[in-house]
This record gives sequence, structure tokens and C-alpha cells, in this order.
Amino acid sequence: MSALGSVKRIYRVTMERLTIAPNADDRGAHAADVASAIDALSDVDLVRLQALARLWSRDLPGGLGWSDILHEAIARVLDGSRPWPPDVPILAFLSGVMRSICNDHWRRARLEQRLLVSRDDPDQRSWPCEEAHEVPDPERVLAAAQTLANVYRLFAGDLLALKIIAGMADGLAAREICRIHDMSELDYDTTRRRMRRTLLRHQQNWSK
Amino acid sequence: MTRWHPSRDLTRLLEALSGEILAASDEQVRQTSGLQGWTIANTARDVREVIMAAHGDVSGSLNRNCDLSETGAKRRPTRAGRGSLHNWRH
Repeated sequence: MSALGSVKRIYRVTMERLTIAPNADDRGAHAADVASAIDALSDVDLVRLQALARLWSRDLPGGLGWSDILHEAIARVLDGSRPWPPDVPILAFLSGVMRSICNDHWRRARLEQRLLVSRDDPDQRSWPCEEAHEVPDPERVLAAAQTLANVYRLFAGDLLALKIIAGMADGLAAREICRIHDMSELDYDTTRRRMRRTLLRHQQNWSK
Repeated sequence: MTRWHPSRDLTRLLEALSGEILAASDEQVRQTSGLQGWTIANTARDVREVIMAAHGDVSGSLNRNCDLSETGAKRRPTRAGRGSLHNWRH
């Protein structure tokens, strides 16, 4: 199989995995429910929604911004390709869809990059599908490191917030963060509230 | 020493920060808006415009699919006027 054929196959398999195809009746009922829920969002909820869209879309490849990601997410939930699970709040659901869409864009960018690399380097032409997803991508690693640095910079000067941020990045639970840093629950809660204000305050600078 | 995985750290961090945004109280959002000089109403309007545009795309797509599926048969009105999908406030 040619390099182009391999990449096309990888792309097709990836997209098949990412695509859910519910039947038409389910789609109609689902779309009406989700449209009503979106319609019922308050102005403050819409501010949160924009902040979430900006958070997920920061530093995306291809110059995509928050409105592109939100647009795509809304379209996918309305057309039923992303079913709204019961008991999941609509904002949390939309946030998850946007995160997933951003991950798709990153995957697509990696595949396109590999296509370009494989044209020039015959050694790169035989990556199996699964392996291709696991290969470290230097550009993505660099972008992630820069984004992490930007987030840390957001909380520069707030030592407690930086400790919590570091704990979050390590996947620690609140109790573990408090224990490791000898932080009281009150300090933790107060800092989290401060962090939320900072996040909301700076959201307009995250993504175009 | 373990290897540093910025992508994994970032994924966890963004997940946690999105939780912070979801957990922010209405009062925190209003206070931030007031302090920063942007209004909630203007931001909400921008977001509604994006939602409306996405909704328009989906409706258009449904209409096209409906038209295509009825090629060669008697045409019915398209689905553009159906249900609560179209009860969008401005």
C-alpha cells in the first residue's frame, strides 16, 4: 500500500471510530431536547459556555478559535451525532463535546503532518494505525508545554493557586493537594474561588 | 526520574480548569464581568449568534437531506418549520 493509501486508511479508521450514527428517530427527539436545553441557558451560563470554548480552543492548530469550536459542538449535538446522555448537565456535556472536537482537530493535524513527513522519508511509511497515535509529536509536546507555561503565568504571584494548579496537572484530588502542601481546607476553597475569578477574568485573552 | 508528559499534564489541567468554570457561581461571573468592563449581555449575545449560526447550518442540512431523500417522489414541505428547534429567542 502506498504512503498516501496508508494515511488515508488511518484517517478513515480514525473518523469511523469518532463518528456515532444514531437512527433518524432518535436524532429528532434528541435534537429537540438538546435545543430546548440550550435555549434555556441563562446569560451567565452563556458566559461560562464561551469561557469553556476559549479554554478548550486555546492554541488550536489551523487558526481555529472559540466560535469555530462552539459552532461545531452545537451543530453536532443538534444533528444528533453527539447524543446527550441523561443526567449530564447541558453545560458539562457541551464542554465535553468541545474537548472532544479539539482533540479531533489535534489528531487530524498530526495525521496531516505525518502525511507530509512520509512523503519525504520512506522510513516513516509503515507506521501501524495504533502506533501512529502513540508516537510522541514534538510540536504537540511543545505546544502543550507552552500552554502549561501560559496557565502557570496566569497565576504567577499566587503561590497557593500555583500549588493547586500543579496538583491538578498531576491529577491529584483536592485532599491530596491539601495534604502534600499542608494547606487547610479553608485556604484551598478560598484559593479555588480566586482561581475561578482569574480564569473568568482572563478568558477573553485565551482564544480569538 | 520519570519522564515529563506536558500533553498529559495539560489535558488533566484543562479538565480541572473547565470544572472550575462550571463551578463558578453566578455572582462570581457577574463580579468578574463588572470588574473587567465587559458586559454579560454582550458576551451572551455573541454566544447566541454562534448558536444560531450552528442551528441554521443543521436546519439547512436537514432540509437538503429531506429534499434528496424524496428525489423522484412527491415533494413534501421541508423540515425547516418543525418543533422547538426553531423557538430560539434573541
